[in-house]
Amino acid sequence: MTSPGWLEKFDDMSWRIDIVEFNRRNGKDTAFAIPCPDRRTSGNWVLESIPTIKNRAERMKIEQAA
Amino acid sequence: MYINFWYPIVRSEDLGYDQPEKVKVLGCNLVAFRDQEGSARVLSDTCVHRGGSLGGAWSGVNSPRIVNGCIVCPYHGWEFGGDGKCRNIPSIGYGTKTPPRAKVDSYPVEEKYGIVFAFLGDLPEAERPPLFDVEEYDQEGWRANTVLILEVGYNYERSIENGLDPAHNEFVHPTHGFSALNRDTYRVNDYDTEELSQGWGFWFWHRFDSPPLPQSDHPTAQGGTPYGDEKTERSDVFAGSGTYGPNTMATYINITPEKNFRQYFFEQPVDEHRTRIFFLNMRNFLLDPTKDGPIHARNKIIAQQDIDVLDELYPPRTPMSNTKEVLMPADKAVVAYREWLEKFDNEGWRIDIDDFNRRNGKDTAFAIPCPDRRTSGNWVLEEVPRITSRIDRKAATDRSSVQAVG
Repeated sequence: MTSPGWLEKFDDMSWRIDIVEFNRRNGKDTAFAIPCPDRRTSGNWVLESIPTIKNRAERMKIEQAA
Repeated sequence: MYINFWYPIVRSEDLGYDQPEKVKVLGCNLVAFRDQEGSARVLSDTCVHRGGSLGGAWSGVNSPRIVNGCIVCPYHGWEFGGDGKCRNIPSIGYGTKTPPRAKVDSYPVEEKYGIVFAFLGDLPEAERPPLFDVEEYDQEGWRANTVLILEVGYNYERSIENGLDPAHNEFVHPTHGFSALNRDTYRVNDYDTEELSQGWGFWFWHRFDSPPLPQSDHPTAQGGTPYGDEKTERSDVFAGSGTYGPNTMATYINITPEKNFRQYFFEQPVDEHRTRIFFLNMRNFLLDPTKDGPIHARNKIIAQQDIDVLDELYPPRTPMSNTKEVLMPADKAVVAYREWLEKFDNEGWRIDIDDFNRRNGKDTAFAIPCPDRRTSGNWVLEEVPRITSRIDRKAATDRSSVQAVG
């Protein structure tokens, strides 16, 4: 069994942007932002964080559905 | 975008007697033309036969496009009267009775202020909001500029909100703000909103600190001072603004108590991302027609200042919830406008734009429903989808958010 590649590792960190969902909702009435470090320590953020994929398994599901 | 309001379609001067004008409004194609009496007519553009565009490309160079008051379909020659009913189908013989389904939506029309307006919706006459009344139009002591059309690449609600906004002048318009140079004294003065006397919207007055009107070094001066010596000093100016329906906005600018501009913006949402603004400028001073040019020139410069900023707004549509922005007291007018939109949502008049976009441009042809749909059947094109209420709209947005989270 091969070990996961680097991108797959990043997928499992939940750092991959869910581009399908982002494209579906962007350009309408929602404004997205890439979350900054302060979002981890404070609330009251107005713009929604860009959607991300939880892990590789979820990514596979999304790609299969697409 | 909403059905059941009056929308500008074309300028009167742009609608000839021999040629139709095809326009897209609320995402749907329409055709405007003049009948035998010269009356403007507005129909759904899609021929119910096999989808021809009534106002589209025409290869019959020598044959008329409008015959006996009917618009002729360029595809198979079907002839539709101003009431939307098909009078002739050439393939079954001219004069042969046409089937009841051979009809397209026909919209009530009023021609006023140099603009052809159509009521895009299905409300019966007694229930319709009237066309906005410009009370000083054609009155002694007032002069109107020719209607200016501004074609912009942003959503009409964003455009209306910008026009209402008393806090943007200082930063967007160096033509009539101080560009934040007076940091010690600048703030937007408090104001209150009230219901518009014509109904269907609101109004407010606002006082602001105003620089002198442009002098001879201004690009619109054309060799002189575009406003003469009408306002040579810094002074307080009163401006009033408000909305009527979702797509009409008015601004009154009293540069002195006696010298007034009144500006009207009749907005035509082409689709969710594009707007054509029909701009009517009235004034009760500088009545000499030679002042029309410099005033138009200045208005175009001011409009471009807005366009440059609004082109970059994100998201393109106003958010569903005011919590998705950080609103200030100066935004009271924007909130008042949104409250009116909420009322129109609850009437079931808002087009479900996401559903429309999902299905449009495929195998379904949509039409804005006309009043006749309330009293007769046999309509071929599907009505544009609409949300039923504000709650319905919010539920659709929430569903999107839940799906996004996962």
